[in-house]
Amino acid sequence: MKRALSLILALILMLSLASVVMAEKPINIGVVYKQTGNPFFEAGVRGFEEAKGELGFEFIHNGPADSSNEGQIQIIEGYIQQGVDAIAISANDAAGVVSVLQTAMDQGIKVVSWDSKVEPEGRNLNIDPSVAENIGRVQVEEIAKQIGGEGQIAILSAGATMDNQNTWIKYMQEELKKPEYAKIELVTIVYGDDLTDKSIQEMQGLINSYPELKGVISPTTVGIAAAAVAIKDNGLSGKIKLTGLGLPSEMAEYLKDGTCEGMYLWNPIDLGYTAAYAAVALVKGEITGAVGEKFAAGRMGEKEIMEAADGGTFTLVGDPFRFTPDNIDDWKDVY
Amino acid sequence: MSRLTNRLPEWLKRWEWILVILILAVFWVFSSQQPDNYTLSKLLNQTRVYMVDVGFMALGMLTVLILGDIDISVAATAALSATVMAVSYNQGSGIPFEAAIALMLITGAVCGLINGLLVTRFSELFPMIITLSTQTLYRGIAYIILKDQSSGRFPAWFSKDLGYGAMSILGLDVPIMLVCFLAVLPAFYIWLHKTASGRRIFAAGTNLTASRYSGVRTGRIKLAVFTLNGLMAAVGGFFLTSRTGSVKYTIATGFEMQAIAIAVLGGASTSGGRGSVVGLLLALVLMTGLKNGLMLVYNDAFILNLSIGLLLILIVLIPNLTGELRRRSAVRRQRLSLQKA
Repeated sequence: MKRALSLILALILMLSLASVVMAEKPINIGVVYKQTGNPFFEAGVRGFEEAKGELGFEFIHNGPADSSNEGQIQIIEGYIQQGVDAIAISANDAAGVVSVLQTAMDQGIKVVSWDSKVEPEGRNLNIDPSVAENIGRVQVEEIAKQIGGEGQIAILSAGATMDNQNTWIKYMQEELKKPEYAKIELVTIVYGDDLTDKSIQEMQGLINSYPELKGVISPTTVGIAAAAVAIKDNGLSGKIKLTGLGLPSEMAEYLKDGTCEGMYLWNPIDLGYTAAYAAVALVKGEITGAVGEKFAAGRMGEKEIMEAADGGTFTLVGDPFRFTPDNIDDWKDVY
Repeated sequence: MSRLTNRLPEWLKRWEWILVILILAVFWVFSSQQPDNYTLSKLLNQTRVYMVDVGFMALGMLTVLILGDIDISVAATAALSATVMAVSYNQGSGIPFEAAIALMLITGAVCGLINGLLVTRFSELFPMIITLSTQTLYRGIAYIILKDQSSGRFPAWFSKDLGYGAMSILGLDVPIMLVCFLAVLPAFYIWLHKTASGRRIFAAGTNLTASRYSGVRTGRIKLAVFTLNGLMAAVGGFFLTSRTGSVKYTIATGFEMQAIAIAVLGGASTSGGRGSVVGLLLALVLMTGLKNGLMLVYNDAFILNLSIGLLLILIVLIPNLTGELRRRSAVRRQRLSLQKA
């Protein structure tokens, strides 16, 4: 029954692709994200779905339940076994999946990292949501404005091995060296591993350890939502300011009750959408992931591949967008 | 049903045959569902993920279970040993890699020895409680050493050739790490099942007091077995690290339960005195086939865990159920003979 159904589906797909000269097996992309049940990645998958509707490829998606490196390796090995054409991954450990992805690339599988990169040896191309320096800077500007330019702040990050957060934090620290932030003290960086319970614990720890704490930056959607819960539960909404990168759908409540006065994020749907277009372009051989190449990314326009600071290559999706209590209603149902 | 089990010859009732039947069933189901992907050569590659590192840990666990003890600190031991190796190698700027590996194995053995000492010195405490504490202790030390960072950049022979390399045997590409594991198995088989020291472990596990009174130095055996278990955990961590290429303090989380599950599925009893190396290998093959098949068909970690849980409950129930059936039929036969009389 299942086979008959898939046969019919395949037939319909072939017919719809009749205009394409070579009616081959559709391109199959294996999507790996940091963990299952994370709304950010659910939105990212919607980007893949949208691109699928336009390009006509197939994709499967999965992530470990525990944000582990081993879990991602297990999923990747499964994708290699299934003979996917490309893997699009947001890595839990930038170095930890290099070997297995090299094995994949040896078999002709193209590798795109999106959201959180893989070391250059283990990827063809990285899709960066936005200029990392920019992402770091806007969050420092935001928290400085909220706490009135002086006091103790802390950072609640995801995993210490997750490259995207690490890079942004590096730029935040550089930004904080500027004279206008001289009165702001970054007391600590803690890691919630993008697990809600651990992030809440870490936030509670910050509240207990630093009674003078004025503000928290959480550059991860899981972290900022967990921090909002902890701050509100302690009755500290408005006393400990909160900003970072948050999903509108998860943070709308906290933006309205004053726990968070402003936060940033880019559109995860766009991110997944661009990653899908890049993966398909790599599989079709339109690009190789080299500096200077360009590919058409549907409604996102033409994307150029640039040299990344780590020696690999990357392309950019867009700019971080500021969410405030005034505009949150326009976005909270979108992602 | 009861008559059938009674009529079966004794050797067919062995647990291993049930595993063989399950393996054949699992392979038949999934290869008919996924004929292109669920093939022998592709399954061999999957043994890296599901079989080797857990297999080494399960071998150590088997010896502990035969003794009637349990060690739930093995995953933490693996994590601490791997951490010690990664940090002492320090991405190439520390001690030579071979020395780091030696240090890793020593760390594992010492962790095991500490467990053994605690278990033998404080016999009023359950090994489960003791190793539960050392589990948090070992992982805690790993965390203190590495914090939230990861460490890696190992030599290519380790993270590439050992981790993902294969050698051609009978026209099949067999992962090198699987070859390593299969080479160790016969040694364990002969030692546990064919030598006097191996039999002593079974004896001590069957009846500790009786063994002690008949001159078996049970304390020393326990110490040795726990140390060996720690060493095997480090070996498992070694192969796991060759796949990941980097170490974080959370590495191998949950592997202790997998190791226990494999050993028990292979016929080991948590109350001691029972266990087999052949059963363990079959259990590993069954788990690899099942987990990989479920992963292919459902592509969902939750369904995978749920199915494994269901299987384990079933496996524990089967011997109990057949035992119960046998008892009932015996009672019925007795009644019948009484009625006739």
